[in-house]
Amino acid sequence: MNRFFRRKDLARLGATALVGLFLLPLTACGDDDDDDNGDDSGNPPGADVDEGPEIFTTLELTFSPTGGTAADDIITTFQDDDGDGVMSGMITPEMTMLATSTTYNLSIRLANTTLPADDQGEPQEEVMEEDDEHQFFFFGEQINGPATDNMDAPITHEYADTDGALPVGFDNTITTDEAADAGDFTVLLRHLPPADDGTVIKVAGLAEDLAASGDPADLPGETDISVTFSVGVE
Amino acid sequence: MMLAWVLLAALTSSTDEIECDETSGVGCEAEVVVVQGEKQERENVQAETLLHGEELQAARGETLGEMLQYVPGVSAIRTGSIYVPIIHGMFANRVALYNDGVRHASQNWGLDHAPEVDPFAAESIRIVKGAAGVRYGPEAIGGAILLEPNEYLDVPGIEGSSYVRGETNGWGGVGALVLRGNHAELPQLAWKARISAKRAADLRAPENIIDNTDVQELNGGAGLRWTQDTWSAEIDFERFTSTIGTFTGAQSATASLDEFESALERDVPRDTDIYNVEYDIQRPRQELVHTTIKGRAALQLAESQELRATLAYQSDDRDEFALVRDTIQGPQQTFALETTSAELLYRAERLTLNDSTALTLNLGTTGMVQDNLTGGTDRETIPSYDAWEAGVFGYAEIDWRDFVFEFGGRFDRREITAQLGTGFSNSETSEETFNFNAPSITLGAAWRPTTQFELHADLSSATRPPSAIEQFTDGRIPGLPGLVLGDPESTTETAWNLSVGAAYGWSWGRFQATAFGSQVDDFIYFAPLVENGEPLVSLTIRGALPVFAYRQIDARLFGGEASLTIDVLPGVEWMSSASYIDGRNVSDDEFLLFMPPPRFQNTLTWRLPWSGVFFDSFISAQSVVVLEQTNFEPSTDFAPPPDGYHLLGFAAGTSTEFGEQQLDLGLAVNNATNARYRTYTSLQRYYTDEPGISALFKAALHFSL
Repeated sequence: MNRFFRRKDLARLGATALVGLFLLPLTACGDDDDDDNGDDSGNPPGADVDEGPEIFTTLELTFSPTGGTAADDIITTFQDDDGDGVMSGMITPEMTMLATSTTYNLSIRLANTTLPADDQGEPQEEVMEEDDEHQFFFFGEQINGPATDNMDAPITHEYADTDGALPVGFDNTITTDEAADAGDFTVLLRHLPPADDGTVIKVAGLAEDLAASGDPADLPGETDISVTFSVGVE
Repeated sequence: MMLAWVLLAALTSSTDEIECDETSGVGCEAEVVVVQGEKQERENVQAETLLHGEELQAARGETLGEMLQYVPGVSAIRTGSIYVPIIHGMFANRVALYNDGVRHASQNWGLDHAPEVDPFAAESIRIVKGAAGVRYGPEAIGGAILLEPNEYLDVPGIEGSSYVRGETNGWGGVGALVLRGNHAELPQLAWKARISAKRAADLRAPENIIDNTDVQELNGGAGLRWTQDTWSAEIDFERFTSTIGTFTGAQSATASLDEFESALERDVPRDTDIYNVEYDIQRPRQELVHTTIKGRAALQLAESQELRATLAYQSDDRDEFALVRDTIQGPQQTFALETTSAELLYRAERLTLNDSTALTLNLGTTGMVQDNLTGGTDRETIPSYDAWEAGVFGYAEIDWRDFVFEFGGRFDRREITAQLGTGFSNSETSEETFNFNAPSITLGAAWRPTTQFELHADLSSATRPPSAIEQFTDGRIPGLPGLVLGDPESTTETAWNLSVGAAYGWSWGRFQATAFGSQVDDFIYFAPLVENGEPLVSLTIRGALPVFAYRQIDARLFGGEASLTIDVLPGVEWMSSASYIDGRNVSDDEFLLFMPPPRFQNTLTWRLPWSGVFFDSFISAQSVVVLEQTNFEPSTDFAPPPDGYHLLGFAAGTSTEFGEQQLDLGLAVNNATNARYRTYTSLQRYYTDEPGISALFKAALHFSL
């Protein structure tokens, strides 16, 4: 046994094998580090759309009556100047009243007011560019539409745009019925990036799934925006 | 993970250094019962545990927090592959971590920010429980963890160890090589070097994959020491690099209160069926780089009197990558912390005052300058700041007959200047400066009438200034379903800690127990803000989120741990330990959050009577029972504490020798019943079970060339 395991040889062999073994994962790690760090450091914040801050401070809903002028637009805004800071966001006006038996175009504007004036529209552009992995959902007690099953609700929602195949929700058609008190009108923007293995998760029927489950958390993806407005008809 | 339990037998008594000649037979048995062993092995009279030698070898390859969680009185806040040690209920910036005598400076404020150290750097780990401000500075208000490296070789030769460890849960592997040497041609110069690497994929709970809990780590270090007559100088470099994924479900579930509440109700996390066990670390993740460069010079003034100067530079980079749109490349938050620290220490060891009295004296001064630069594309949760600290301390130990008395004091001053603004990169900031004074004292005594018995008591205090996070946070902290608000008006907090302990060893067993009580005045407490019994919420564009705040309360903690080891049959050892802790917010008459629930451990080890080719062989079984935490406040938590649980594990190991090389082999199975469980002290408990069954293999080769 002692001849077979000659101390010097064994130690040399062991050391060589071990060093070799450890160099393998090292090279793998080293490559990754280079890739990551190359991009990650030293980007001035907000310098480029692709690396810009993912901050939405503003969600603005504009209800434009069909055939009306800009003066007839009804606008309601959620504004949170400190983003994820502790200061609470505000909805102005607190309550929005639409007219009875009217058809509106509902358009949505996203902004980041912490950026210089020229760049404040960046969040809107970014989401629009990635419309194949984003979708707005409209639900709440006052809404009837693809994402709800409130047949008797006074406000009916329909998507008026697509990413080429599926609805997005920057443009919508809203039809009002009889007068009704103001109630919950939730605007949810869901980010639906493909899964790890490339499986597409923005698929047909998501709004209908939400109508069936009633729980937005059952939707795939992550919430980018979720604001509940108070909207009624008079 | 649970492999750490094979070392428990040796942990039962604090600091028991067993020195026993294998050949000396029965007389050796009597030696083994020495409770406190060599006097210099014990750093102080406080409650402490030393992990080293065989015990530490058994846990090789684990992260620091993982290694320590089976030490009685210590547990961990676990988030996936991240472990933050908790000592007697205190954690993060209440536990000072020293790596080879240098206080580890890092972004240690997050509940999911583990210490950025390579556990292979330590040859032994000392855990001091309770306020230890005098020795280890203001941060040691809850305790201290000291990583002590392998010493340089004084005799010519090369010694080394290499380690390999593989685990089935997460299909992870760790490898390390540690070398040290000295050469006959130049015996004044000694060197050491080490490298370790780790890679693991996602962990699996019994019913789901814990997505994105993969890890990748690469660490290395090297040092040189020159010794000449009465002086020596050393220089040392260390680098730790790690990429750690955090559970995807935690970020999506914390986006809004609705999603979080829905996650609480789920049995298994959402979308778990679309996840795979893979090595690719996605967002959300942390990328960490910690570099330490250290120089030290020691001058022998007289016999057993030494003057030691240490200068260290540390840079700690932490990049947090949130789950964001594909087109966004970089990290959302970056923290770059640079720390330069210096210490001058005079130490006189065991000066003989008279026949029965010896004095050990330590006098020192420390200084530190620190600079934190917060960046990234997201809103800054904590501002950039500069800080400096300076301190003076002295403590003495008097050995008189069977007694050891210890007393000391320390004074630190900290000044921090923060750049306060709205947190957005383009906002205007204004500088504000804050000053803090932090005095600490310690008084202790130990009585060792025989080598088998010891009694010790100590009263220690520590005063800790608030950290930047406690003062200035405003916004989101990853993994937490809420917004966090700091308190710029925070004052220092002061802990008074009394601990008493006893240890007794006899021919076929040992017993050790520690009890402690702490009063913390102006405890900087992190908890949800409650208004009229309801959590206070703030509206964000992603919905309403509860607001957490740092505020100052008075806290009282008490608890203890006990362990008993007995030889039930020749070669069969049974080790049993229990720990309990109770933490209260006295100001509001509530229980404190995140106090570890009662825990019981039992290990049966059969030491196989083999000798010859294989030696030190054993087979063991361990049971860990953790009870449900019943001391909790419903209004300060989102979900009731998880049920208690029982984990079963098995291990076996052996060693063999050829020439001067020794090979240790080990196998283990953790969570052998594949039990589903959630831990109260884990941020992940809201979303997913902890990992299920795992089998491990490990090998260590100790060689000399």
